[in-house]
Amino acid sequence: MNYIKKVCYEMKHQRIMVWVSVCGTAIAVFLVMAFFLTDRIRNCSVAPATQRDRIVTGSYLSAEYDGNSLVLSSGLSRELALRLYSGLDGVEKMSLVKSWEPLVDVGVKGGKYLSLQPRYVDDVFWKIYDFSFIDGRSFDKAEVDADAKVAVVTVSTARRLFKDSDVVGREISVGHDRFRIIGVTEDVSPVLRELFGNLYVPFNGRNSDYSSYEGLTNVRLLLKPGVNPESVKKQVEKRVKAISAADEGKEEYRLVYAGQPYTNEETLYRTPQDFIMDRGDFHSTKMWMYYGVFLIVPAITLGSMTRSRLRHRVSEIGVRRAFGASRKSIMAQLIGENFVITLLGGAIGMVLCLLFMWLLSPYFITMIDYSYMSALEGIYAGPTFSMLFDLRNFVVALVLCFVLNLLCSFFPALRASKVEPAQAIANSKI
Amino acid sequence: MKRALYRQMRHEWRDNLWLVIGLSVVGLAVWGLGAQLYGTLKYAFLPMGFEDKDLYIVAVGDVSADNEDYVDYGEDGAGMRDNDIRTLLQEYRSNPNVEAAAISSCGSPYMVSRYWTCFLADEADSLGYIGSSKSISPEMVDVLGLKSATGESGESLKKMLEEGKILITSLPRQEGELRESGKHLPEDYKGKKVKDNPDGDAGYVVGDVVDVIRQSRFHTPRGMFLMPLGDADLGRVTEIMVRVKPGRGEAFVGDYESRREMQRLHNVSLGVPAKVAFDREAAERDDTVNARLFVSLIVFLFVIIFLGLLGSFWFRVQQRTGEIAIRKVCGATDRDIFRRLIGEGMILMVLSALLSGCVGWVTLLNIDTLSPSEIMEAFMAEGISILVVVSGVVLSIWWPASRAIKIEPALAIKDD
Repeated sequence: MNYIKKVCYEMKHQRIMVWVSVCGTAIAVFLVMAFFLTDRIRNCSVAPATQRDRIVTGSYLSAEYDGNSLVLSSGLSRELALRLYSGLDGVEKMSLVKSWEPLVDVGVKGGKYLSLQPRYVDDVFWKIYDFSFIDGRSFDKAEVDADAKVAVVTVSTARRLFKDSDVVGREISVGHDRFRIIGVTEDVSPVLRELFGNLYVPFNGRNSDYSSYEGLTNVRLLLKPGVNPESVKKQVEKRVKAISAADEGKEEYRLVYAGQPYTNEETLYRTPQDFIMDRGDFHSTKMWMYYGVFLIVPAITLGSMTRSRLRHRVSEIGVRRAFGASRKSIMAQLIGENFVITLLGGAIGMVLCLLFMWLLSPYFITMIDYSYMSALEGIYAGPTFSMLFDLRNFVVALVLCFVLNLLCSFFPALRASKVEPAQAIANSKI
Repeated sequence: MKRALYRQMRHEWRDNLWLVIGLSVVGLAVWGLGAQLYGTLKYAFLPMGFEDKDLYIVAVGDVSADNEDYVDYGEDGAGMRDNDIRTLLQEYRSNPNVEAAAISSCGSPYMVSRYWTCFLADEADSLGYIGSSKSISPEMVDVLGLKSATGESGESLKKMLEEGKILITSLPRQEGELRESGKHLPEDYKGKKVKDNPDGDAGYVVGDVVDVIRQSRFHTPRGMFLMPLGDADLGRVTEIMVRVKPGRGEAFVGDYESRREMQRLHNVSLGVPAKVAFDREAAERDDTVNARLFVSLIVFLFVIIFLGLLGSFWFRVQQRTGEIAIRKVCGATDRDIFRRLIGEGMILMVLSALLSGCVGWVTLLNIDTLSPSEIMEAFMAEGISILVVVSGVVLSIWWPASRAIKIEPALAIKDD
């Protein structure tokens, strides 16, 4: 309470200096939190991807060709996908999905056709992700194996096509094929790039191969709780080597291991070429560098302001010391007061950051790949409430304020506490 | 006056040292971030090598055999399908909104296709030219707006494709790297027979080199082999590419959306025309968003830097109100006082620029992969960063100084 009173007094008597400090802190917290949140939103585990931190993706065909290691395609043949990823230790479930999904024309007889984002998935997909069904069900193994013409649509798609969400059993045209709707799910946020879609149709990988290695199949693996993705990567690396050796002379090229399967973060920020070239985790290094710059530069500039503010209070510090205050208590008092200012600035910065993310996120957070506006129509494209208002975000902001406060007030406070009472009262200067 | 200024600064050496260190770190940060921003954007505004405005892609697909309206073509299935594609293509070409239409196999720059490594027909060593292969009909020269890098006309490019020759794209950004490693430039292949595999028999004559085709404004483009796709290859067609007359895009799409029957002939089914510009947008989305975020954060960082400088210099000038008053009493003009304060800021600035320059250059000298042009860019970035910090310092001194010199001397001395 004492700190708050003192800060209120300072705000009255050193108005410009204190408000410049508050604004500086607010922008510093805004900067770091905006950077942190954009990264976090792209990686968060929210419904229907609540197990996202346990899901890894097997994709990309990399091969050695004329002495060069190249990424030949983003998909694998079904056979190669099964050879590489089925039966791995530490994997709970495996799902086959299509690697490349351009928009398709979807419509109802006599109605307007819409360009929508399809997802071609198998039956296990629905067990890895926890979609919330409004009506109907997902497709089962028999339907996937039979290439059944059934579809699950999101509620916004149902409304756009039929102006109603009660559409189970009705028919839609997907391209020039007819599909029967068997389920309606809640919309998926486009921020969850790997599973956003307007409709979901069965995929078993059987008719999508180009050669014995190349095709359009990707796999999603749900790891058992506590399993480190690195242990699965090691198993896959061994399998790549074994397949290369076994197929030597039979195939046009030799397979090359390129870091598969990928975590969501690796899918977002690293390319298979990065793994082949052993380039390391450049994204994390870059992020830490930015955090450093966004923290140290404001801390230095705010630190000189804190020093300036404290120079105004030299006589007061001298009097306190003369009346028996210890250096430690003076330092604690000054750092505490500064913490109140930092918290005030931090709160303003955090509110600004949440507003910025809420209102402007489509401009600052990447949405789905190959997304045309028609696929996003009727869907809120920004981060959801649970992505932004997570307790961890506020804890990070609080820790950030604390670090920023220590960085910019510790040395000025230490210097102020060392002043000799007589000298301070005589010169009013430190 | 100068000597007095130096003496005064020496007396306040401890404060000045902190300020110089602070300004140096700020200068280094501005330098590093500025260089990074420049690196991100330096190629963004170069030509893309093709015109995506008014360019549409129409996917060519087939109705599956289990569809109720599947048509059994009979024995000459392939021939009938080829005829259907010819008819549909002709329909596009005769559309009054269309300027040109071509068929291709993975012909859009954004479609995934096989990579090729280029070999001279009579040599086993590769030429170091790796690119994706696209099969295109000669009309694609007009549809994409391809330009020869060696001065050939569009008509002669089309003729080369008709004659079965291939076109390859230039690689201006990799020129230095290719020369250094003793490899040929794409221009050296013109008129030579090349193949995609050292043991292969078939070869293609490179007709010409066309301007590099960039899929994204942010990435280094890779090579492209533009292979001829003739009437005999209609079975491989995956799309019809259409260039619409300027300003007729909406009418063109509306026309096809409202008449779905135009998109289907027997078992050949065409997709709704989609803008290729959307594909570019999707290909650039991550980089555009990151660049936007980066620029915004840099702007906010500059605001903090300015606020910090303002706060520090505000206090310095405020501390000197008494001194300023005495100087005015002794006959100094407002201009003299202003010059002195700005001069002090500039001396601090020069010292910090020297310090940050030394740290920056020592760091740069330890990166042995820098090319002369990158060193030149680093020089320019340093100059710009100094200018930015100098502007911040001048602005931060100017505002408090202009307030301080307005104070009446008697009042200032009494208050002090």
